[in-house]
Amino acid sequence: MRNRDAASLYSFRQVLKLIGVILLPATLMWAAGDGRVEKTFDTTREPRISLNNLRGHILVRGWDKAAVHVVYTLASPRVEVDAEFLPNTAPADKIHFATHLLDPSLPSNEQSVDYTLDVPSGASLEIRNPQGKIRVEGMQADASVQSVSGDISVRDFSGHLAVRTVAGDIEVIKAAGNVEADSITGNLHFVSPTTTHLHGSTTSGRILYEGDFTEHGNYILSAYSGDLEIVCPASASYELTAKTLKGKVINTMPMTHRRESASPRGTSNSLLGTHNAGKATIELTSFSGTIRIHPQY
Amino acid sequence: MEERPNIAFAACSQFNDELGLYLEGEARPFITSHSRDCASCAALLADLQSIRQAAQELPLEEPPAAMWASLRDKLQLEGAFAVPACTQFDAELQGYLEGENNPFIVSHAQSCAPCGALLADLQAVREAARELPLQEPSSLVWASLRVKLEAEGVLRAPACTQFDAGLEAYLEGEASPFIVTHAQECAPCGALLADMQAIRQAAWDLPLEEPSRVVWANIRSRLEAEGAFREPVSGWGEFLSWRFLHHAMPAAVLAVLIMVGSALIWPSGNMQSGGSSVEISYPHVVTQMASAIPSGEDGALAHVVADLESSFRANEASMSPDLKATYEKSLVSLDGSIKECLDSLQHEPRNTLAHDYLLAAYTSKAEVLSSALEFDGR
Repeated sequence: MRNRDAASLYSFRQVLKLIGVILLPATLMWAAGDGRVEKTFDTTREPRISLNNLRGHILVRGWDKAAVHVVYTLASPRVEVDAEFLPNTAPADKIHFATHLLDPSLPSNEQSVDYTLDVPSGASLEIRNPQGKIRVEGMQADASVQSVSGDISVRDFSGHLAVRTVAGDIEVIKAAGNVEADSITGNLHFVSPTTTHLHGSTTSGRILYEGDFTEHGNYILSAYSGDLEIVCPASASYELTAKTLKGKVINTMPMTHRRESASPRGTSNSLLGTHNAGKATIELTSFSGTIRIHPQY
Repeated sequence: MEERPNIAFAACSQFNDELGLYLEGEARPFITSHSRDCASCAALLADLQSIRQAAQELPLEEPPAAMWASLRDKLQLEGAFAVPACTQFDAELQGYLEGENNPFIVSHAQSCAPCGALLADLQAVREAARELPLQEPSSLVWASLRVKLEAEGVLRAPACTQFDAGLEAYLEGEASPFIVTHAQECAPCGALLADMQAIRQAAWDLPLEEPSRVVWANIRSRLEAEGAFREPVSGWGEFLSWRFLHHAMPAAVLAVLIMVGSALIWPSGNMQSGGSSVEISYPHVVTQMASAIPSGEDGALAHVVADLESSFRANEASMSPDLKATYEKSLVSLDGSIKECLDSLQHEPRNTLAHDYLLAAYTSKAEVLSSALEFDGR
């Protein structure tokens, strides 16, 4: 009996040691802080949210709660995130997040802050992130998203969307509101938009449009030296104006051609015509790139 | 014996007095009771009732025209038929008496006797009122007037004046318990505060409108020219800084000329010894300067872009290397498109597609440079 008690006690102490070995580092890590901060703000159903970051990844998701839940991870304790909200009492109608450096000499790789925001789907967004990817999902109100070298991906969006990069690629999937996407060297990729107004331009990147066209929709795609490619179903209905000064226009969709009106546009390779009933209006221009229009297979 | 005839006479006299009212429909119990006692009054009542019945049964007949004419003249004299001119006269008379110039009033008063008489009477009353001696109203009248004006908020109490003075600061976020308490006590001030708060809230709800790209580029260029973004330097740094020179463009041209002259005089090895940053920076300036600066709208944009680029070159050393490389790559792409468009326009000046692309390229370049100056690696 006594031996059994001693053995149980010994086992119990071993277990305690084991637990301490496991928990102590975790505790120390928790005490040291891993740079992760999590906050929740009560907001109205349609708040205005702005985010100014320096570097890092940003993910914004729309949800049906009247609150903003933010999780941000700092790469260094010498980087700080300010959160301002108006009015001072809940629920907030305007929230502004800004990343700033406590030490200007901080190396670039330590300036990174990654954000994940869950916001009301009716919130309007203004996001600026020079370096790092930005991803926006499930939003219904207006948004302005800007980056320099980061790629931007927006999906399931139904508000007015303005996206701008210098070198990052832009991807817009299933957008229902007005879309304006501009880049200098980045590529543009549009997938299954249901918008009635889409404007995309890039200087040296390429543009790829995959999907149908909405009745009475207006689509303007412009590249300087990059190629434009339109992939649409055979049932698409549009009136097309495709022009390139030094490139080519390659079309495999059956069209009723129309004559270009006398206008001093200069010498160019152009294609003007109507496919099916011509319910949407498409304008494709490229200075020296190739314009391709072909059906989905 | 004589009293009985007197009593009977009095009753019949009363009967005669009330008979007319009874026949017009009034309830008169004495008439019915006396007619039961007095045979002559009863006979009179019966005759009058039969005459009334017979009159009611007579057929309706149109009165003769003369009778209507006589009736109309009489009514007209009494002013029953106001003609439209007289209606207009009545409507505009008050304004005329208050000093408005109205020739119609004068002409109608001359042609219409009643209206003329009315105007004359009112003018006489006004003249008489003017000649009345001025008298100071009693203090009770003034006190009553003041109370009424204060209740309407016309007269500002000292507290309201203090409220007006502190309202702007309160709306800008300054804590002011006086503003809140006075707004609760004073209805006009409370309404003013509520209106201002509603206007402020409506302004917050206004949608954000992004100005056009060219506007931002112009603003940036002007601020740069005014030195808004330059960091203070001293000594040789100040001597060598762009702020020493009023315009970046002439300095850039001078620098290009020096470099071109140096290239012509010295061997190319000396150019390369300057370091990779020189090789990256100056060729762009040379390339840009070598191209003809277009005129008109293109020229204006080109100058804006050139100013922005000079500022960018001055600040690029402070930019993080990867960000700087991104901007450089985009500027190379844009410079290439600008040069190509300018070359196309030299061969085909009326090529609007090339012109559109040129404008777009300048605008995009201005945007990129503005973005670079704004982010600036900080």
